[in-house]
Amino acid sequence: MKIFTPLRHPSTQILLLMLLSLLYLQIATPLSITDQLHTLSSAAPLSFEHISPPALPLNFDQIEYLHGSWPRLILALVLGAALAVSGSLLQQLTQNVLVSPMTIGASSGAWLAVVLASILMPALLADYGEWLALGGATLAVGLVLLLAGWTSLQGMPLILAGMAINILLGATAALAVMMNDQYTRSLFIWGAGDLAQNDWHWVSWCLPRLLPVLILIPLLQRPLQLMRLGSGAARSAGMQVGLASALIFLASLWLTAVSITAVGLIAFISLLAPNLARLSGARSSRAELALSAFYGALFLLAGDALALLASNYFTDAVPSGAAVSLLGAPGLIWLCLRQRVVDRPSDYGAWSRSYSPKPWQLAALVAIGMLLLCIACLASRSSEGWVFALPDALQWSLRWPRLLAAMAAGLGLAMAGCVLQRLMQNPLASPDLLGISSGASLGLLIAICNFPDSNPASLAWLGAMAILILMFWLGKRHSPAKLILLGVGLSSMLEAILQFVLAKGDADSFRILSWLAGSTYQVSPKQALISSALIIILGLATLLCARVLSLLMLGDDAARARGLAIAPTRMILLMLSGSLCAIITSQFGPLAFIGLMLPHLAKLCGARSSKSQLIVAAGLGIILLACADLAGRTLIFPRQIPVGIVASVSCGALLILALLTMRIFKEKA
Amino acid sequence: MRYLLSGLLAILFIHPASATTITPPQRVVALSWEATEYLLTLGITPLAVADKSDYQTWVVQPTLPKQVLGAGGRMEPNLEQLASLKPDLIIINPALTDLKPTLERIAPTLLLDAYRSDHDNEAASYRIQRELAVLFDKTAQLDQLLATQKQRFSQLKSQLAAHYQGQLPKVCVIRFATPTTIWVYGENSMPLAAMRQLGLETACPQPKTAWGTAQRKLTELGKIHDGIVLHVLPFNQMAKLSSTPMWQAMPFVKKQNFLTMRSTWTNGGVYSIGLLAEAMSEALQGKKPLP
Repeated sequence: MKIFTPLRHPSTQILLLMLLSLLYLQIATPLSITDQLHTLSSAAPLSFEHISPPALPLNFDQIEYLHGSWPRLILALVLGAALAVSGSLLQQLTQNVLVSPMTIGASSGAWLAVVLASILMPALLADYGEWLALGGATLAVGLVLLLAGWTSLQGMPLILAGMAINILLGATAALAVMMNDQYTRSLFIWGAGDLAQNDWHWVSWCLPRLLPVLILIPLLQRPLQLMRLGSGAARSAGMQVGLASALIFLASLWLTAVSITAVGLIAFISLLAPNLARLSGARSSRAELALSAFYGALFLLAGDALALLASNYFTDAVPSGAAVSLLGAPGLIWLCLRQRVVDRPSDYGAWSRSYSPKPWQLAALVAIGMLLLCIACLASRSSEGWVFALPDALQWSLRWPRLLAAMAAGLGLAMAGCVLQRLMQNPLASPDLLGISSGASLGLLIAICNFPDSNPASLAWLGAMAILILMFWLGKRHSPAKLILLGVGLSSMLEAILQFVLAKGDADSFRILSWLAGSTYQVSPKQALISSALIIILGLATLLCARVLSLLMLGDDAARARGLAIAPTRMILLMLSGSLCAIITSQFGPLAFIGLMLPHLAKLCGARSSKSQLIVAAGLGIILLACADLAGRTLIFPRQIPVGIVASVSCGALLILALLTMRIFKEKA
Repeated sequence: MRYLLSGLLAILFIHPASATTITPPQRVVALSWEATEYLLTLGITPLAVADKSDYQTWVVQPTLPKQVLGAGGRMEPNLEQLASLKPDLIIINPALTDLKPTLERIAPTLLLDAYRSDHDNEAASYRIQRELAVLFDKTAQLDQLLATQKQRFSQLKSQLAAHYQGQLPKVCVIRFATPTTIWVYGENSMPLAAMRQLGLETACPQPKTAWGTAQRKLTELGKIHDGIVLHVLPFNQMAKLSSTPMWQAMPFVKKQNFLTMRSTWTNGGVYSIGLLAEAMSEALQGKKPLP
């Protein structure tokens, strides 16, 4: 497993970092090396002053070198190391190589907190930004732990829950940005991670906030070392596992919160650096932390150098965070493909409780559903107030395509979610986590940026199908859980490219954001009819497979014993659910959470068998999306909220509610 | 040859179909801020405009009369609201091109393609304003307005010439995005159009883009050795920025060639060019803008 062994020696590491820093400075400044030395000596400590003649006043390049390039270099080294240590702490604590502030939602929690603060209370942000970020990160991680459960820190559920929370918080932040578009433009630049410096302010801001934690870390080494043996062993060695874990979590989140407040979102370093450290042979906790810090500093330095180089050639400046992600996303994918992750089939049945509703309850549910559908069709708002009446022909012709599209999308996503969850025996599997939405988004991005005259939906469709085919190809060699991780890697890559594009702050970014928000707004009557027809056909085909799906749930052996050809069946089912996702995403943007939540809601309504779950989830999807469309049309009249954001945020809220009640039920039982 | 051809195509951008109505449209909806400005400039009050409250915050002038309704967002106007207003003309910009067939079902729809990287935005804005004046039968008002504007430009020009004793400085107009990132207004931008009317040259040439802006690093301003840097408000972190050694080392800051211009909309049309020229010459003559 050992690679890059010579790098383990501290002197080699320091030499390498110094060499790279020197190179970095040559990219950052137009000054020659002798000029740089002159500049440095003129700014050097006073002791030199009596030997050398009084220095000439510095020119702009020299000042930029001293107060722009140097603080940027120091910040890159320090924050790179801090982020890497933050990730290493979490990975050692959870013994999960895919955990990092990025993958468990901490970064997006901090980011959302900062976005909201900059809109609602800018004054507070300037003074207590790092505390707000820490609060956001802690809340997000708390939610993730609640979702995944404390016992599953080592496995996939933690990562999946983290990614789900990432989507929810990302959707909320997108909503905030959309509703305040002019004002939050500059957030795009900052959100993409901007390391540019005008003075030593941020360096002197970061150091006193980071150093105390770095001093604290040696104290955490014994608990970390013990935790490697498992929490049971740690407890029997006399350690207070809860307290130590909480401390380690807080230290890690603090490092992340400080760096996000200082320079914005910089992903991947916290995830990749500790893995690189282990690959180069770090065994003890101390060695892993130290090597991670080295790799982190190296990584951020390299990323920022790339950003500097690119900025010299592009019309628009390139943010450092986007460059780091461009380097890092392939790294994550590589890591997924080579790493063995605890891939224990989780207990699908236990995740959401099911009970049998009485017939009158079912009838009431159906009646409420029909009522909601009627309201969604008939209600609207005008400048005079609420209207509840049959719309005239023109009004109706404007309303039905989007309503139909939303309902079809709800149906399709709910069914795709059911299939994926049952197929992978994973309660958190969903279309958006597979990366299909990301493929479509990438296609759309390419379309909007390069072929402004083409129909973006067709390239989005191509992107979705490309990812689907890639997933099939990989699906032959890799477990379903790994597929989802790969999807996550792809989403991260998209995020990097997206931030790159968004950082330009042009009008285009709003077109992209509004599509990403998941909008049925643009749909034409013809498109609505075609796509809902396709979705219904695919849905019916899925329903025909319900029995096969139940057989697969019994386990591979049992299914094989009943004469089922496992591999082709799986492939057909994946193809069905993937096509549903591709159609929906390419038409309406990524509608997150719907495919994740509705299958569970269906089970809560008493649908136990595959067939009844598919039907009930589809019904719920239709009703939910119809209501989301109504809410999107009317809530902030005359403006509108994209249906995808309404649905994602309400599904996310439902998810959290369901989990909370489940926990309470469990405690009581 | 290719350039000429695209220029010819651009001239034909207004679709004559909507101009067939003999009486000028009475109930007009403007779904872009440029369109809103063009209409108000001619003294036409639109029935509804998109992103009404943001217009009042960001564009401000020309003032939007109180009775004008909101029509939803610029990216996603509220179609049902539009239908219930029963307009006889809808004006859009290229952001809504995909939506044009749908809008046509509500009312004749006019696409104003004002900002393109392959034409001259300034010339386009005067052409569009003229074509709208013809459509609304307001050519007399427009001629009057343009004459006044021309006169005002030459007034401002001579004021500036007097202030700088015939040695007009080069000017670079910027807007701060963050303390480390700026938008530079270059070729094809409205501030540059206003500068040309005042006889000013740019101190920071930028390649032509659709909106005329480029997002750059702050440090690149250090390359401007000769000329004035003019920044457009709002920017609330100036105090913090101006205390940094790097800012103080900028050649134009040392020579006290950094000036502040009052908050002015930079993506408008004919009216905006006049407004920009006013704000610019105020700032260049050393008048401090109100905060």
